[in-house]
Amino acid sequence: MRANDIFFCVLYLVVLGLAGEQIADLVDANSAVISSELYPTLIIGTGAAIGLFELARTIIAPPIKDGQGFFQYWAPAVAPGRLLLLFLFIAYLALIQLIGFLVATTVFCIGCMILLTPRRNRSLMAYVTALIVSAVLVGFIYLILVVYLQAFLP
Amino acid sequence: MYDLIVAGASGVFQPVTLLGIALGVFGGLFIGAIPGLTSTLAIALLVPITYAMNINLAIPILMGVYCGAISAGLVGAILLNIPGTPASAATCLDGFPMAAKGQAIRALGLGVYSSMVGGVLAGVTLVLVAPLLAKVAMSFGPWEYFALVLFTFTCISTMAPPGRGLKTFMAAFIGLTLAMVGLDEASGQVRMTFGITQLQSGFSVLPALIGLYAIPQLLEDTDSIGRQTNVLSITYNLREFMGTFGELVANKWHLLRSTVIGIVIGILPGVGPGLSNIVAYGSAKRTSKNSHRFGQGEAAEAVISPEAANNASMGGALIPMLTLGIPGDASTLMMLGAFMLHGIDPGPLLFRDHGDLVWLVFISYFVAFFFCAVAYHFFIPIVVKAISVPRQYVIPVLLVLCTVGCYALNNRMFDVYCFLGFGLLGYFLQTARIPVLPVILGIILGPMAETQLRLALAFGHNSIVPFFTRPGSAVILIAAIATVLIPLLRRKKPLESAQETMQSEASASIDR
Repeated sequence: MRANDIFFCVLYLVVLGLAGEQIADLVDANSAVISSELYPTLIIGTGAAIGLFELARTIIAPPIKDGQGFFQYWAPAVAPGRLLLLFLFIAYLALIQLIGFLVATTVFCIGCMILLTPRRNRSLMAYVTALIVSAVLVGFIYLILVVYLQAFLP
Repeated sequence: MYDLIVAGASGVFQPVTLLGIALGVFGGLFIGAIPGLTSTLAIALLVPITYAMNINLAIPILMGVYCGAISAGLVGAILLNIPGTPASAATCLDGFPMAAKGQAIRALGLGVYSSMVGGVLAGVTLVLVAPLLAKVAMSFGPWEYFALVLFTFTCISTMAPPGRGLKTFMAAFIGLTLAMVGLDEASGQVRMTFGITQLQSGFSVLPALIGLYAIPQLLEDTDSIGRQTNVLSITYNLREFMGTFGELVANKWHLLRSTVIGIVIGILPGVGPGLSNIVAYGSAKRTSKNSHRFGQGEAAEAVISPEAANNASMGGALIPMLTLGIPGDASTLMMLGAFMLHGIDPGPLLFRDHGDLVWLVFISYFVAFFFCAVAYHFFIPIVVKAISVPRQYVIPVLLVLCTVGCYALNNRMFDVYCFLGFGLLGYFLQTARIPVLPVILGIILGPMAETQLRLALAFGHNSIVPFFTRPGSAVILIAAIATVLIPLLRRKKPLESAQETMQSEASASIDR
């Protein structure tokens, strides 16, 4: 828990540091009643102060014995199912630009449904269901967005 | 006022709007019943799709989804021992044991009726209190609004687990920092864009909200794919279901107390049904004559209390959202996003300038509960089926709907990439055990805080004294300080008493 919290605090301070570096470029017009730097400085300054205090508090405080180290905390985040879905989704967003929304969505849905189904359950029925669900979804989106709401598709 | 009620009613009682509410309720019931998919996600999915609709249709549909999804959480809690939404976490404690004893219809009946009664009573409170609060809020200046934003953040930090309060503040500061990206309207300068042109208009609020909520939740949901679910089977009997209403009447005081708890917790900014159901359950256990039977699936009040409270929180949460523009919980935060998307800024001026819209919200709230009650009476076996829908079919469908929704807002892929980026941020925060809600509140309330602070300083000639001398602002600031200090003092008390005990034990041992 402690290593996890320290990691978060450090990352948080780095992000605020980057944001702080960006607001240094702000300039005030002569007619400005309130400085344009005031609010950003207040937010980033207070945020950084809280972050530093929390970092110090986390380091000084006795560690919480919850039996979980840094890697135990982060292990579920890289579970195969989660990473697979994330990878497929990123690939899907890239595919939209290449092959168009309707085809990319069909491919993504079928791929996702089949690959996420445990191997032991991958029967012909699973493939057919994936195909039907994907076709219905694409048809539904087309009908609602393009025909009814007259919106654009990606 | 009468003409506003008529205008609101005529907006709701249109065939298309009624159909929209009914479909919204069914959609909400379906999504809410699936464990892991919350009302917030259900609304998040729908908000961008309603963008192209008339607001008179969009808001009632969203109200339908909101009511349906919150109340559907009880189905998973009772039949699966997994709450469909966090709002039904306490329902598991007695709902599932009751169902396991062969009384699933009783448990569902108690849950459904208490949800409906709690929700409707909260709706009545909403109708009575919101216009009064809006009148009070009309006298608010920028000092009070800025103080309210501070109060919102202190409220959520209070609800954080022990030792995590400051991290909640840090999460809020992440949101406030992200909200600063883009053009500063006062000075005409761009901030924190890192040279990226698309960032000059800042982050669109909805892709950020949807990404922060949907992606972490859907990624986490992949863990349950292929897992064996033991759903208790039910043989539905309408007469038996309706018979539970008598038990509800017999427990009217528990029902009323839980409803009041739900409304009060709902009104508190940033805290909603997720907490109220647990507090109401605890309160019912303390005051019940059958407290020894809690947890065994025998006491009706153990199911009634959490369900009445979580639905009552809905009405409560809408009060600050409509009157002050400050969301009561994550779902109303999404509703706030929907209003903003349609160019309507909730707050006291909403009651003055768009009174018909306020009544549209009120009336569609009650109509949604009516449809919800109808759906539960006649279609409960279908809602039950939603629990066992294989997750591998639901996840990609929801991801695609989110993608389409984010794109449809501005017709640009940049918003979709923002959706992914915010999703990854939410996933990181969730894994690091940092709450996501303060980030979203920061993004939503950041611009309001900045504008109000600027105005307050400009009106006060760069002085912060009016923050403390204006009665409204001073009261809100005192409340904000109290919400931080009271839990700290309460936590300290047991420590002090423990130290005293240790000292007395030590002195006693020395004496021996």
